[in-house]
Amino acid sequence: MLWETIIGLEVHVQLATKSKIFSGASTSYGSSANEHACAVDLALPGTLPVLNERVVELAIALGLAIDGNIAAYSTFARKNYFYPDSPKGYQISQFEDPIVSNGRLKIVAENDLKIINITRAHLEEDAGKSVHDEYADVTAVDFNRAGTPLLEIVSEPELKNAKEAVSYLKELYYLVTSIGICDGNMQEGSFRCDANISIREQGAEMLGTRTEVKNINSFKYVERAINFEVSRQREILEDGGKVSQETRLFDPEKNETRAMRTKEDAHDYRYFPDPDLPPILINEAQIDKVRATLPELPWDKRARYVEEYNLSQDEASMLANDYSVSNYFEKCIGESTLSPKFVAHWIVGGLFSLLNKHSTTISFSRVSPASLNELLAKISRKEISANAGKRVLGIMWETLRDVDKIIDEQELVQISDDSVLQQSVDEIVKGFPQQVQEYKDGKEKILGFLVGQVLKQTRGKANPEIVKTMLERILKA
Amino acid sequence: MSISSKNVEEMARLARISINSKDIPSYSEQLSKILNFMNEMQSIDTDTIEPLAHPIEEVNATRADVVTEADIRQNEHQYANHMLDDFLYRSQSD
Amino acid sequence: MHDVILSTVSALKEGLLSKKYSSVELTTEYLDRIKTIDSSTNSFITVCEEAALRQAARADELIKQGKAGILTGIPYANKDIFCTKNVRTTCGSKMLDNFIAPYNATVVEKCMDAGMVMLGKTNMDEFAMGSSNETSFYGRAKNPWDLTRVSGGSSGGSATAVAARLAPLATGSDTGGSIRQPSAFCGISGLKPTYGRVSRYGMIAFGSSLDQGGPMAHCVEDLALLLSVIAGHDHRDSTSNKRGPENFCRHLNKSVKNKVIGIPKEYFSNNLNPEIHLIIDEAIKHIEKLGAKIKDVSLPSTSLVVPTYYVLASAECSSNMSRYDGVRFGHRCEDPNSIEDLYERSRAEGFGDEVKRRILMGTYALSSGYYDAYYEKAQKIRRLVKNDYISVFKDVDFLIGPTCPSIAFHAETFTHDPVQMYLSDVYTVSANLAGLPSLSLPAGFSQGMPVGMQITGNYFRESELLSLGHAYQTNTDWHNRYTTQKLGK
Repeated sequence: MLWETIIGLEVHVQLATKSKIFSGASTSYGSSANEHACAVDLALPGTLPVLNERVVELAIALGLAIDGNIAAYSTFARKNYFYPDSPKGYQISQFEDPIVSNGRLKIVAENDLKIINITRAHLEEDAGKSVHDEYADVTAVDFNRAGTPLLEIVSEPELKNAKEAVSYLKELYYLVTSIGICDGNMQEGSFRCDANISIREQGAEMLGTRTEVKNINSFKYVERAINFEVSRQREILEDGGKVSQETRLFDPEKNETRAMRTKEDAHDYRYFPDPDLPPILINEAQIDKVRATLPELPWDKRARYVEEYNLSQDEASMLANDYSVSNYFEKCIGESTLSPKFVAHWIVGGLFSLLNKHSTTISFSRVSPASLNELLAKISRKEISANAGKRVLGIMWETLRDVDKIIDEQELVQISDDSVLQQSVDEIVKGFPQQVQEYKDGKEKILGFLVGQVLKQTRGKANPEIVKTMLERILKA
Repeated sequence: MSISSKNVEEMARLARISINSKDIPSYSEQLSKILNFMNEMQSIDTDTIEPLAHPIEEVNATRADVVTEADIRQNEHQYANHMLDDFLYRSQSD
Repeated sequence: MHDVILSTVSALKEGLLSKKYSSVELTTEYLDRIKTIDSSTNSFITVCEEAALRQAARADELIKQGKAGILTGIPYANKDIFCTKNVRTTCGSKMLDNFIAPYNATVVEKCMDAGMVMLGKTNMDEFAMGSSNETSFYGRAKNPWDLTRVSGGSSGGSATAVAARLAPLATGSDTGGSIRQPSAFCGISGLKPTYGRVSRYGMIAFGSSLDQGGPMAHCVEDLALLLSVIAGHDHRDSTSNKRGPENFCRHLNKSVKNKVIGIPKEYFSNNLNPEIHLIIDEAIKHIEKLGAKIKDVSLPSTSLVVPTYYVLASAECSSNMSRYDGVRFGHRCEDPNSIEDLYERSRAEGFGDEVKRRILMGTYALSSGYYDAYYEKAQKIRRLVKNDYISVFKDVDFLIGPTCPSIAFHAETFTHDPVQMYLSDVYTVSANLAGLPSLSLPAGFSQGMPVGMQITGNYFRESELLSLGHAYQTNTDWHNRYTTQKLGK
């Protein structure tokens, strides 16, 4: 039996505003419980919502970036359901007239570009947080998050497997962070994904029953959750059973999805237009205003890096996707005459290893663009070797000291004086007759070993190109 | 058209209001009367009419993205009955 | 001091400014009356004696310094639907019996800023759902003209308080007639402003697209004074109209000559009580004598307005009531064993029967499979109602008819027949559906009970509406009558 998988993704993006979508309380994260839950957020009797104009701008930005249709007339609706973290007993969302519709996102699927259509993106408010483990027998609720603005982005069910799904999510993530509508902090819940998954026999017309796996907040987990769920459904169907339509949660520790313990059948949300919020009318002038301030989109940036700077696709991706990396990179090349390809190589090769080693991100880099430029200038002028440069970079990170001072102290100034180098080369040729013979016998690769010995003897200070030339002259003679 | 006991139970479930089983018949009776009354609306054809959600057609009521609300946790309406320590609200576990 | 309590607000202002009495003395007079009389009328749920006297003292200071505004030092009462900071706000319900609001409704804030003195919070139908004040958790407010009859609702307490002279002014709210009907039943004047004229922030929501707060008083001039204080744009209410505060007293004396009054034929069918028919006819003739022109008009959607209103109001209320879940405030059941139990029992215990019925009906009207036939259908009829008015207002300036099809009924008349109670709103609900301003004025007596005349105006034309009402009251004295019932112990 051959099966095909059909996946649709709903991503909840927290919009980066100072205050909430319908109240003037702060959206900042990590404060003490209920510090930022004002009367409106707590749904106290008599309170009313007022729309934050910034969320409209941010939604328009997303709409433009995905080439979608921005609604000229958009309305809010109440989605009615009871849950302790939902103070009004309904969520203000959008139903009939979402602010954005009919967009698309290009992703890489099996080395090919694939277009995933985005049905709609609509505005809604986030709920509070239930705290289950602090008190025995009691669930506590913190409403700080209640009212945080969300943009729910809904894709068509066009993704065929976990890899495509992750590809789509990552591209969407790069987009929303690059254009500044979301801070991208997945640990804090800024970007959450619900996956709708179903399978059917290849060639079948009807869609299979789908399940929804909710609130996954890491790309790794999305991949694992989808793979688990697809296997689970396949097993059921191959055994002759039926997949139940239900909502599930992914447990990363057990690497499985589990049905949520809801007592009732599918929700009847009883959507109706929210009488407390008049419609929004959006005109061309407003859209133009947002368009004028829209930053470069990640795919345009990647293409530009390849075209203008001659970077490889991989390098371009690594530098363009994360906006804080691209900011850093562009600052480096903007403030120096260094070749962008050279800078790219050093950021990807050198700086990234340090970031990984110290488990941190470029926003917290202990080497600034200016300092990196200083170092790279010296390497570029061959004042120190590339190897030495790597060491200096590491020491710059540890000690935060000046490039010049470190080079002096470590005596890393590259030796380019021919006579000094010649002396060392002669010694190495004398000292490794076996390897010299191997080279003469045709094993050309052994040259690298000999160059390495010279470098070792000169404590990394020899200029490796000159050493190589010298060795070749001697050995080929 | 009428509202059956089953309807009453379903609506009560959706609205999270517990109703004694002995009261269900009287709810069913009263609500059926009300429903019949509401059904008078069906006597008129409205196929070509646009629904009216707001009586006065206001648009675009927005506010600037500024933090205006301070911490209200110390206010009098916080009763011991509703709050735990650390200003968390007390809900109930499943 | 007996004359004082029979005065209009303008006369009270005079008295304060000319130092005949102080605000503290005036306030004390009303507080004493409440103590003596309210046990028989049950208008107040909460009386704020200390706070009122403090506010009165502050007002006296302002008056002394020559800084008095249009209502400084004047005592008034707030319907218990308006949140009042640090003061219990019950909305007539057990659900909020222990709720102390942490903030003021905008209406209350404006009255405070104007230097008014709040005597207390008045009785009302639970969550504003009712037309008799009988659904109140605190017992019904009793009509001062006949204590065995209802005050009307849902602003029954405010109407009773003003009629019994326990407060010269009061605020009310009107969703389907809740200011106008009790005003008519109790023989006072009441205005439902245009939707969006008065902020709904802090006014506990029942039917959000229908609710509007407004003034209740003896005469139109007093209504104009209070409206001038409470009306105006509020950025906290997205449905609040952008028009700023206005002085509604400025054009009170404008002539009504050549104004055109429309008489909807559907309001004067053969079913209308003949005595009420007569009284309204008399009132219309009176207005004609003042120079207005009378024209017959038609509002064809009238036969459908009551069911339409009840579908929309119930639907909106079913959603507005969901926040009362026992978690953050309000009534909470004892020892819940699960979250569902917490919700279901807190709500079952906290809400009365009428509220429960409307929540269930509203839930039904919005539920999957029924939305089109009920909620959406009602919205379409609402459009027709509005269109009827737009059409009619091309030819007329005002519409006049009875406020209610009957005089105040005896208590418990409709306890077992909610639909009959709903039908008594036939003349009032249309103005809420369309969002138009509508006024009820005392126009006569039938069987010893007051009868009200309703005048509806075009959008945002409260000034004109009030000048017509004022002209009528300058030439009649129904609004000056006082009950012959012995009130108090």
